[in-house]
Amino acid sequence: MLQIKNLTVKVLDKIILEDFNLEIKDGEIHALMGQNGAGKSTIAKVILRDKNYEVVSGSILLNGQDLLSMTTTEVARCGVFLVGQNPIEIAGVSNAEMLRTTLTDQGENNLNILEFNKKLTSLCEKLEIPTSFIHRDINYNMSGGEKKKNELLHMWMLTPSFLILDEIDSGLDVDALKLVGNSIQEYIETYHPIVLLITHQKALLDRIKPDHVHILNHKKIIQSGDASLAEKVFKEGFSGASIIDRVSLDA
Amino acid sequence: MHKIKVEQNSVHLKSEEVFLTSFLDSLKLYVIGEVYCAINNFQNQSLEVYLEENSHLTLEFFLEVENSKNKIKINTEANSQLDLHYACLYSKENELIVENNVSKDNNRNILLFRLVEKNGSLTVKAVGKIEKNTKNNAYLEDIKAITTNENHLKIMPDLKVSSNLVLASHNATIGPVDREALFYLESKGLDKKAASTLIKEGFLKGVINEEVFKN
Repeated sequence: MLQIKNLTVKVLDKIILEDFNLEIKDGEIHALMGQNGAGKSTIAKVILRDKNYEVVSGSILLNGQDLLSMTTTEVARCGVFLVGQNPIEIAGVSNAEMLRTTLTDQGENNLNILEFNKKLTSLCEKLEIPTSFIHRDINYNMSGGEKKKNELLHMWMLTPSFLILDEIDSGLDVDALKLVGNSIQEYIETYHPIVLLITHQKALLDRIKPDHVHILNHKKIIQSGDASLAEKVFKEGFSGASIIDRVSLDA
Repeated sequence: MHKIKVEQNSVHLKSEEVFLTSFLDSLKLYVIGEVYCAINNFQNQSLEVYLEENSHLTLEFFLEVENSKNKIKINTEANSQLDLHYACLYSKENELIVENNVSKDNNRNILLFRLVEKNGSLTVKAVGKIEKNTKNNAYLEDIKAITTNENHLKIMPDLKVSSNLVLASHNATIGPVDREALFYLESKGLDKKAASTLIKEGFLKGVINEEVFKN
């Protein structure tokens, strides 16, 4: 279970999140929505302990473990996995190299290279990417869609228990979105991870049904509900659904 | 690419791809035609290259050594091209002097240096001499380095251009390991040291033939 309590975060003396609260039970899928610049990506970076984000107060517990006292590596080794909006390119470091090093570092000392390669090959087929991706540099010279599939290749290999998908749908065409959405859904059905889905797109939420939807505005969650809340936003927009206006008045 | 263990002070290479290992203090390399030459174990050595007319040499070094003072002197005939790739990992107390003498016409010299320094010191002195009465030469020196301490890495370009008919330029960038890339790899579960090593080695692979890197 993920428990975020009274979290206040700042970047360069500017408060980005204030008194932010969120609880996700094991196996639940939560969607986080909000206007651009509301701070949705910030929460992803803070959970992963990005040093650019300073935690002023509050706590983040994952299965009772204090993530704020950990390094990025330790958080990842607790099973947290982030797919960002625009995954960076790392020239000279191949997918296979990174995955092999990570799995070995995580204790798989007797990593069977044959099995490792076989699994990667099978995943490439599943994700409809050439097997040459195995030895390609991480996200290097890949299209937006290829980068997202490449990140899913990492996900399937590292089998995280907490997925943070930060606008994974951005830059995807209809076919790629279908494949990415289906692959994540299959992963959820296989491993039952906690999922925090940050999105603007109805198409993705049609494929990955959230148990809870939260609207982020004014540095905190201002409204939560079931999947129908997302439907309302898609239909009427944030202000059209009177969500933002109402909260502004309340404030 | 075939491997040669050098036992004499001079080697003649003609239109071939070689991987040289030399333990001699000094070595002369005579090059004719299109030659690719990777040199291993370059430590406290002096290399003198003679590039014949209409020849193209790609010279690659990959070093993982300490306390080494190396010197490379290059002499080019007309219409020749030199690509010098020098990749150096974890250098401590190392010094490299490159002297490139361009005394004829229509030469193209590209010197690519990629350096990774960690907790030590490395000094690179690159001297480019373009002599008087030469024409249509191009001389490009591109040095990129990642280091844990910028104060420990000294790069001293010294372009001595005596001709007006030359295109000569020098670029040097020194910076720390890319923090964004480090965060990305750590977020996949790699520890800082392993992530940093992968990034540094990846940076060098941009210069050096993969086969040389593995060797």
